Amino acid sequence: MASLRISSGRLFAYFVLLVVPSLIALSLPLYNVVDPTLGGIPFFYWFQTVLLGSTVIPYAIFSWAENKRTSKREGMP
Amino acid sequence: MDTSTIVGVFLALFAVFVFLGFYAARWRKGDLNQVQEWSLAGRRLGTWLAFFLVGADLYTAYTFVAIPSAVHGSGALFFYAVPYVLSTFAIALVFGPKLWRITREKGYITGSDYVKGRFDSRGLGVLTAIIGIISLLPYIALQIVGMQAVLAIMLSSTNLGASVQDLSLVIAFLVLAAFTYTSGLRGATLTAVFKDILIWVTVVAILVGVLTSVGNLGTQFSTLKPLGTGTLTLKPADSWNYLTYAIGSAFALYLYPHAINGILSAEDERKLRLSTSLLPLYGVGLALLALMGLLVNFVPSALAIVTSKTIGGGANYLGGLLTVPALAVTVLPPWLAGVALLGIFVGGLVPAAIMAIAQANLLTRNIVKEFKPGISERTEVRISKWASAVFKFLALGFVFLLGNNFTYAVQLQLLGGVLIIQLLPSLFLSLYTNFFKKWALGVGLVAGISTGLILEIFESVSTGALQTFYVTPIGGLFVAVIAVGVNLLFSVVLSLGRKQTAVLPIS
Repeated sequence: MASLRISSGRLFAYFVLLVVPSLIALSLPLYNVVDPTLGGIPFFYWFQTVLLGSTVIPYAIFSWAENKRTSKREGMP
Repeated sequence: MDTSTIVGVFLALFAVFVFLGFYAARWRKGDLNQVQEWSLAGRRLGTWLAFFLVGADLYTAYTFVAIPSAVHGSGALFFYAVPYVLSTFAIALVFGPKLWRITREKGYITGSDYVKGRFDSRGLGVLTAIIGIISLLPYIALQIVGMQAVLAIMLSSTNLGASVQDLSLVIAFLVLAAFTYTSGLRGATLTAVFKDILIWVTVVAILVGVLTSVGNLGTQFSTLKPLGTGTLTLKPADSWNYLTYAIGSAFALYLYPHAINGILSAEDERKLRLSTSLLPLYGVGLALLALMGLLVNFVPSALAIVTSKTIGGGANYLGGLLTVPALAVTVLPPWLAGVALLGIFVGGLVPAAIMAIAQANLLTRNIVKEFKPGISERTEVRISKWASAVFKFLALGFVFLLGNNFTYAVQLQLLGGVLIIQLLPSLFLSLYTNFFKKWALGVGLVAGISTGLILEIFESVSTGALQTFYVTPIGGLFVAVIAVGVNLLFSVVLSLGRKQTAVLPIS
């Protein structure tokens, strides 16, 4: 099976899309506080919930880019 | 509580559920005597079906019952489930599609098939299968605990005792075993879609119900001192516990045999990738349910049920496990409460079926066949079908045997994680590197499992309850993370300096 070499630029982009969200999610001091609250709910809880929901965006971008690469590879002789 | 309406709606929807389970055998008809037809639904699941099936793996009694219960009891620590699911999908995006591609090329059906082929090692393959099977037992047990919580609430206002609950549970399992036998993963997939619809209705309805009945959340939270910790946020001492629970669980989830089944049943690598990237949407529901562990404190009628010592049939103290079911019957109209309770109930039942199918596959393909290679594919499927029934009842027996103190049911899932995470180097890391050697991996696996079990037993005996963290000078650490560290240490050090023995070219 032919493989496409992964460029360092793409690797960096993937790092940002896949790893950075988790790094933020694991940066406890960033969100382990009560204020600002959202509708009464402490920051600790609502921030993590919003972060989780918005992670769909980088993950979907990653999946779109990687799927294009897969299609390209399959199209190769 | 209008019990007759709740039970009526519950039973009617359960009938629909059972119909779908049996009907699935005819859906996208394939020869169900073929292994991949029965266990991987013919490998024809597109983006959305794969989304629902894998979502069903994630959305289990863990989400509905165990996490809200733990948040209710211990506050912020168990909100670790949120960073856990966030990270786990990134891990799945890196390893899942690659595993899919290799298994498709080589015709593998289980993770153990892959490990055996990758390292040309029957021993490693068998070991992988055994760990997969055992790690799922506590996870299935957790599903059963979740179903018990629903039955306890539903039957609490009747005079029927705990024996009726047990009987209902056994009946539900018989029905489930019957349709998994006939329909295999197809049954699980169709019922998973049904379950997911009910679950979203439940999450949204309970959220709206709670928010409209509690009034000003700001004032409510300011008066709340979450039990045990005295603070709304995470105690600094729990920081490492929080992080290691999240990281360990994130690496563990996709190593489970049922998750690998979910990956392999996708129709296409690209569809798998897209559906995985959308799964954090599912996680939002999990976060909202976790929050219910705190919000239940503001609904006096629900709190009364949760703190009642009698619901669950005398000696059975379910406590926080009742958080979400109790909110369902207090803030929702009876018919909607019936819908919600069925959603939570099948929320345990469907994953239990998927997990038992995965265990059965491993048993026949990677253990029985290793020692009796001559059996036909037909016989292989027949053994798998029976084994999937046996595993379900094994877990049921386990729960009945252990009795009633499952307030910290989340520990069952974490215990499964301690075991399954040991497959990280052989099953996932080996997808991208030829570095590891089979002997090194074997020694690492045994060292990791032993470390995990020793720490588990030590902590559980010294605290008198099932525990999955080990206290160190920097705080409690999730045993899975320590044990997989030992595993990696052995796997890496013993692999150094050996010549390449790669069997599978990786690209």
